Amino acid sequence: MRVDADDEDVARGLAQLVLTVVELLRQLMERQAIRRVEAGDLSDDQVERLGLALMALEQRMDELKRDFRMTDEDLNLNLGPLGNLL
Amino acid sequence: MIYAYGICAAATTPPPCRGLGGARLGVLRRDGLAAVYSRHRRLRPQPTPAQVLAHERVVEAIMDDGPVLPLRFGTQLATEERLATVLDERREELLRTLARVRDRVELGVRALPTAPTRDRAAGERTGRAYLLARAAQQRRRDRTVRDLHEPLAELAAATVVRPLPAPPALLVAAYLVDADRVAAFRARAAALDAQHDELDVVVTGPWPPYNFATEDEDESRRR
Amino acid sequence: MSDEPQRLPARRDVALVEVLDRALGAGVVITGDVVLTLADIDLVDLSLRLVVGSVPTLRGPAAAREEPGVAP
Repeated sequence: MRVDADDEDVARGLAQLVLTVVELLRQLMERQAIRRVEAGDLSDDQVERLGLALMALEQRMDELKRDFRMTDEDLNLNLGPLGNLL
Repeated sequence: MIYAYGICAAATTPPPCRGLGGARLGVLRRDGLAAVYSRHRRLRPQPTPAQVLAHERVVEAIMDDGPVLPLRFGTQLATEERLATVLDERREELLRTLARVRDRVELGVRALPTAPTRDRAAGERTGRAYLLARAAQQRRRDRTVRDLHEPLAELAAATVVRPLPAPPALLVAAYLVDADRVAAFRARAAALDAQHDELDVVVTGPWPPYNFATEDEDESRRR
Repeated sequence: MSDEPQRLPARRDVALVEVLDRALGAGVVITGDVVLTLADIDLVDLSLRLVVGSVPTLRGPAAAREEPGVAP
């Protein structure tokens, strides 16, 4: 791989990528959780624990974004002169 | 090695451009069908922007002269004979899909929040309340997606909707639209964009019909 | 056609991802010899390469610099 961008840009780009992937997975897991809750698949205890886990994940995402000083807008990955990923 | 770009009708004029690595393009014709390809002594197609764009240019050049079924990037075969065999073996299917995309183009639509802030529910007091709040937000998002997609789908012969678009996009979809309805489609997308202050509705294309080039058995992709 | 297909690279506002989505994730697959499969790991690898590599600037129809190692 050619590394033409400077190190900070690279780190930032990777962080953006990672956070976007994590957010995608979080949404996927949340969707599945909601589906199972609505299907009545889970005990009250399981629902509670699932909800708390997803809530913790959301909070962790917020922390990660703060750590990388990234806003939700930053997660719109930019691929240079050909425009934004999304 | 043969590298193949797209399948079209035998009557289609060979595109005037070059292929990957500047290679000359050839056209293999078999009984009403044709495949556009290039020969290479040695080729390792890599998904770099340059190579993928070179592939895309050839496909678009084919489309200038008639319907095309774009091949996926990276399609290599040992010889022209193998390419001919593919055309023979899949002739009926290829003719059907070619007919389906004739005089039509693919338009891409992406709907994104203008101010991308994620729905938040972190303040809920219990796990259950969190999930219920999330479920309600999801239903609202799904309703918005339907409000965008259905009016556009009305103007399309076929659609492919991504089940889980990468965040923050709400809708990522492809529409197979008659060439003479493209303007109406764009107008309707612009109207939907105007109706939804909180969203940007972006139309891209016309694209070669990558998403409509196969008789996909995975019906969940199509709505 | 009332809307003529516009050739690359005239559409400077189009995201690279639109082309990649289509050329790598869609299109007819005619042989098991296809070099690339769009497994999840390939997407991540590809994205990493895009993030850390350079993106060629398109200036005109003949602009694309070909990667070394691609023999005609």
